[in-house]
Amino acid sequence: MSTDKAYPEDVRKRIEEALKQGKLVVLHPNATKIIKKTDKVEPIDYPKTPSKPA
Amino acid sequence: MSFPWPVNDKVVAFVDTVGGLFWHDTLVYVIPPTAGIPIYATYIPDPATKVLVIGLTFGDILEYYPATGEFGPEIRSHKIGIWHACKGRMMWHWDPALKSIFMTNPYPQLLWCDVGKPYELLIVNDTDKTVWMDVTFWVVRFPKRVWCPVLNRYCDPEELWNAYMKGIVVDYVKKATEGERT
Repeated sequence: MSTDKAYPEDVRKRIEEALKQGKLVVLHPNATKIIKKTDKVEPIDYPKTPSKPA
Repeated sequence: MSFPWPVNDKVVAFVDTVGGLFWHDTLVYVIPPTAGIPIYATYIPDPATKVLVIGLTFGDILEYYPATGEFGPEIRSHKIGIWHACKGRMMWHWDPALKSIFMTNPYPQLLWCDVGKPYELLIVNDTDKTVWMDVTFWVVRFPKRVWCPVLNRYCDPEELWNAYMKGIVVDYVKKATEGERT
């Protein structure tokens, strides 16, 4: 088992909570735009789009 | 210049002339045990666009531990996989998480999708483990309406693509039949 954490803690908790409800989790920077949220699908916008360089 | 199939020079000419943009969306699926009831999900392109899906790339499938956020070992199993379809072109079929599927990367396709015709998936994980997998959708993004230089009007890029491909076939068939006569 790898000890590397896959996601920041806040994202990990959101994933864990959705999985407990039997939901499929889909991660992508624009997940909420390209994946339809349903009672069985939880899109999460991750990683966050960085701000533009100055 | 050569391109990976199905992106040959004829496809590139169409994309460049019609104002398409090569694009990809890499999605991570974290899949709970589905216990015989697949989960329906869709991939919906940006509403302002219509996309030609040219391929899928299947990546890793790893065991995932939700309580700690750690990865486990890689998994290959006929109990994990994806049914997928695209209305009007590709019927539902089964892609299990087995080596012969994952060796074919990218998995070539030519499928038009938009908000009204999303790419459809049924996700299966009939193991007792939570699994993590990544899939990349390789697409060409087009505006919803593109200029047709022959018809002199704006049209659906799928309509123009179909006419273009038909034209290539007609041209080749004509050449072949003319060659038979000489």
